[in-house]
Amino acid sequence: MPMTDPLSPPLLQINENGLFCQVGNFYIDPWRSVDFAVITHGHSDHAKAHSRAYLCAKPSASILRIRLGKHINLQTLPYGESITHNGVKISLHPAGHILGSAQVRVEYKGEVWVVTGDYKREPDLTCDPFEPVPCHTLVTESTFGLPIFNWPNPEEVHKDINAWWDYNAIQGKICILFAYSLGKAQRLLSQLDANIGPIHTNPAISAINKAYEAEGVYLPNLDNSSGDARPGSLLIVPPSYLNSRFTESHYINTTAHASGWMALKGMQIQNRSDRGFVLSDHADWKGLLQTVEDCNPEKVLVTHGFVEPLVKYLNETGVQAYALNTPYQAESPILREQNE
Amino acid sequence: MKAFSKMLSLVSRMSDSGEKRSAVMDYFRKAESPEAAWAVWLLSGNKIKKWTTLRVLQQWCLDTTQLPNWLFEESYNLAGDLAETIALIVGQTGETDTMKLKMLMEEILIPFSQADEIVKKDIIIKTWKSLDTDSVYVLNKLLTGTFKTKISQSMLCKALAEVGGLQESVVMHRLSHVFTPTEESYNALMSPITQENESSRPFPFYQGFPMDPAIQTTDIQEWQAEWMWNGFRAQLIHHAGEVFIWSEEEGLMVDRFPEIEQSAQILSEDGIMDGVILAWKDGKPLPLSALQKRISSASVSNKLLKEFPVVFIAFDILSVAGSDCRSQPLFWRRQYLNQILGLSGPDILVSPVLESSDWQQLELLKEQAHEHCANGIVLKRKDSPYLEWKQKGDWWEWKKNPYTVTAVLLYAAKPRGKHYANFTELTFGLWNDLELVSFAKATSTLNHVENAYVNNFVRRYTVEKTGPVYTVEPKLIFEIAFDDLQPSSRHKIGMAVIRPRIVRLRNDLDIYHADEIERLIHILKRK
Repeated sequence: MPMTDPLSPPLLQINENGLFCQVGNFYIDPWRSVDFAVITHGHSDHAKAHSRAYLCAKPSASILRIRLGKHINLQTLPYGESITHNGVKISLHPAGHILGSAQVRVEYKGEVWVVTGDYKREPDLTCDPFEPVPCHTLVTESTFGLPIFNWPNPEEVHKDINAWWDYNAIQGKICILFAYSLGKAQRLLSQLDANIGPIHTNPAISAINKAYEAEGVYLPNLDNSSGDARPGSLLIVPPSYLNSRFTESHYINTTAHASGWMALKGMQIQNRSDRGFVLSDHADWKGLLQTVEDCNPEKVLVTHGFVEPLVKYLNETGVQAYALNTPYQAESPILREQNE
Repeated sequence: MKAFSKMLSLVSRMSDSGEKRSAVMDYFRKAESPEAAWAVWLLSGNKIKKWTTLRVLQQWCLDTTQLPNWLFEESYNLAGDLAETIALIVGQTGETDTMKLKMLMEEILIPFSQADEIVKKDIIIKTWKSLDTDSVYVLNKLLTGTFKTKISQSMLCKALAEVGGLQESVVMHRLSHVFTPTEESYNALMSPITQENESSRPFPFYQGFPMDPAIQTTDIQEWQAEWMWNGFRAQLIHHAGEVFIWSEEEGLMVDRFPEIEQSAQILSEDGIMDGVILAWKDGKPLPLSALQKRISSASVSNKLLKEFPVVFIAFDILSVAGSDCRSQPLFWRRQYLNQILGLSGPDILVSPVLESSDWQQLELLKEQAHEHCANGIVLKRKDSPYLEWKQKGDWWEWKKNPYTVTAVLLYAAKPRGKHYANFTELTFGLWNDLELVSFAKATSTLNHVENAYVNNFVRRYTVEKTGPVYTVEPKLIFEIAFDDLQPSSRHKIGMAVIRPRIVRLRNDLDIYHADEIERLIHILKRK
């Protein structure tokens, strides 16, 4: 690969609307409405409404239409294929975060930047696995950018979840599992053992499920009969249902969160649910470092999460790294995942 | 080991005791006897020799992972627990864990506890690499002598009893003898065959309830008043020449209170007495801290016996010569108690009845409770039977009013590992000459409006931040209540404040209304 010219302006930089490519005149995950937005995935802190044109990975299309409106001007691109926009080559590559999540590879005059968006390195039946893309500059997330975050094998976690459900079903309890309606809910559903009992979700999750099934993701049949859940059933609902009238009305129940934050005992206790399952759609510490190693960039820009520690650590280990400041930066990384 | 650690991790965050018990039962149902034996041993509060400190473990963790210390500290600040931080960093997340609890205890922790620091370090780093995160956490706690669980002795006994199909008191009785962590001991513990000497067990403890003001409108002559002793509630059982002391909290306590056991040996009749264990010297009770020192020590040395002798203060008798007398009225039982204890040794006393002719007089007496190492007065209906603990009505606890002082907020912090939280860890100061010195730390019990006020105050008036602690300008005044003071060399002001708590915010006062340290010294002297 040719070396990048240190004197030329960066290919991508932050302005008041978001991460901007000046030569190509487009944005990646802008937070304001712009002319042309490349969207990494459908979570609300990455996909904002009201832009005039969108580009996303093909499997992400129906999700974006649910989230941003049916009539958005949307162009899609299969993973690995490229288009040229104002002379800049853009291609999308699987990020393994949720269905349709993509890393954005941007190439101009031989210089390559990759924006990972949110990603994970663990297997997930509901989306294509992460593919490392070699580049000169890597823009990486850092939601779990501390060495205390090391994910257990997700297969084990799914086993634990089924065991928890089975155990409580025998006791005649209703299990309530809190998970984000886009991504985590479907990942959980795809691994539930439907022989244990009926599974319910709330309407928001059911709508997303349809988008997943349309993309050929297998999800178990849901019990959509009206009326209250029977003892032994499992409900997947968004975390906002915690302590709402909904959870109180199911009086014989037990609750659990599935999130990377559950790795911390303190966070489990603060969440006030009965169980915490460590299951994240973001890269853990080793995953972040592995990605930097795999992509072998000259420079790393860190965003979204524990930016300072990761930047400092990379620099100390001989990788040139900088913070890429976005409005999400100022927020606690803990709040961030909950915004999804 | 993995199953044991996982069970502990689950239990540590459960609040419902039924759920905790079923998690414990679940573990013992599936555990093999040699593993279960060590689990029982650890859960019964047995400890191994302390290997090292958490800070040393932190260093070993840095040495093996090559992580910089600042990154470790950053992580610790988020996780809020040192043993957990290390466990999260070095614990294995794959399927590598084949370590048995028995192996860990018998082949590593016990044989190498006296080894050189270098050897220890090698062993621990190697062991860490064979354990999952939960197990590393347990190991770190064991190594540093900080292993604690949320499983009480009585919960353990209940769980084991249910798993083994035994009576709870049988398990408790069997566990009261020295338990060696072997397969044979475990099988004996769970054996369905009951032996003869397992018959001397206590009754459920009756509990008093917080004083109902309506009681003061009744005839004072209907009530027997006693000090509400600040000690260790227990039943003393003299049965067929043997003595058993059952604590309400910890079950059967063997060889912990030899002086009481000796005194009880002399009793002429079998009986079960209800009362309180107190540290007691020269005819006077010692503060609760003395008793705590005595109890917290694993073995009772001669030095400890001399320094903190204990007595059993009996206030009720529940069984005489093998027959249950709980349905007899209190005045009858009291008479019998006096009679039977006339013949005991010097370390069993009768809780004196406090005489007073009217409620005002009794109330004045109540405020002197601390001079007797008591928290107040207990009123017991003279004609009442000894009820099962759940029933309300015959015993009322009339607590002494707390002491209160006006103090200034000096420092504020959020609870460690809680980033959303309010500033609830507040430290208060009093005047010492022209200087404010900190005297007590309390966790906020303010309502959310007041908490928001404190949050805003801290944000606005912070003068310095050291780690999680914010030093604020001395401006905000609180009324602080506390139960008692104890001399203490560990505290800067020479005394420890017992159970300090916030009564209210005093926005109407300025810092010159705050009290002086002198006031505490005065309270301490009066005792």
